Amino acid sequence: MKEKDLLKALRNDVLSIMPNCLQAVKDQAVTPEKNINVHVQNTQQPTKKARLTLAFACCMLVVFSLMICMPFIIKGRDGGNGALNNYNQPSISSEVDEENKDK
Amino acid sequence: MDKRELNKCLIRMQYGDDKAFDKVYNLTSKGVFSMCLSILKNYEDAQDLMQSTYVQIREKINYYKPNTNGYAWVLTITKNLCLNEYKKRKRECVTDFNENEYLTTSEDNTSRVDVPIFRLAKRVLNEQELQIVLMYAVSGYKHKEIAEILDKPLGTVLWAYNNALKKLKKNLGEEIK
Repeated sequence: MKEKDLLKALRNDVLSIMPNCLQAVKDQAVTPEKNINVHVQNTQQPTKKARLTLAFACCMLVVFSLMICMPFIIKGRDGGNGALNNYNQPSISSEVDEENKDK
Repeated sequence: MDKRELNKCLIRMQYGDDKAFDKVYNLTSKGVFSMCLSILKNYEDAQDLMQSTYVQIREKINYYKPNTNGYAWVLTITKNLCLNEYKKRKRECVTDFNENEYLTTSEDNTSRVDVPIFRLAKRVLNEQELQIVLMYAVSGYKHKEIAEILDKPLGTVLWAYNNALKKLKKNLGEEIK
């Protein structure tokens, strides 16, 4: 007997005794189990390393933004006249007043 | 067999489509039955296990991950159930005093139906060879796919397959003489 015929005969043998249990399975009341792991798998929660990296990046962002903004903040406080650096010196307006008094 | 269609049907089953189950059954029944038969070598047990497999598939359908090999998932369930049953039977056989009686009754169950080639294959081949030959002949798998499913090297599968065919041819020739 050739290989092909042998396999065909074996196939026919097995298929001839194959039961049909479709209806029997359908008749059984089966409620599918809920897969709890699905939710965990779908929502990609950051790992501890990722969280640390994120926190470090935020800190660095704050530091750099402060470094960039600090000169402007200081400039804003003294009104752009550099008054914060020489606040003991009399202002120009008071000097003019004194000159007027002398006159 | 269309694997993509099977995967789609399994996903549809997850959404509660009952017709999809019919399709899954039609697509996989041959493979499931031949695997049950090759492991248990007993028609009655294979029939029971086939039913249990499909009940399990319906129960655990939410555990199927979309875009993965659905056929492999189904066959893994079948294989695990069959191996559990096989181990159970093995333990039962050890404690059973009428061991030979059990074996003869199981033999009778299969021989009740006229399946000469299958009976010969069951007698001559070992479990692995029978499994591979049935998967190739009945389920229509290629050797590469069988190797993937059984998690064995392709060379081993080919060797076992050729060995099985040689044994079958030899014994068939002797029986005819």
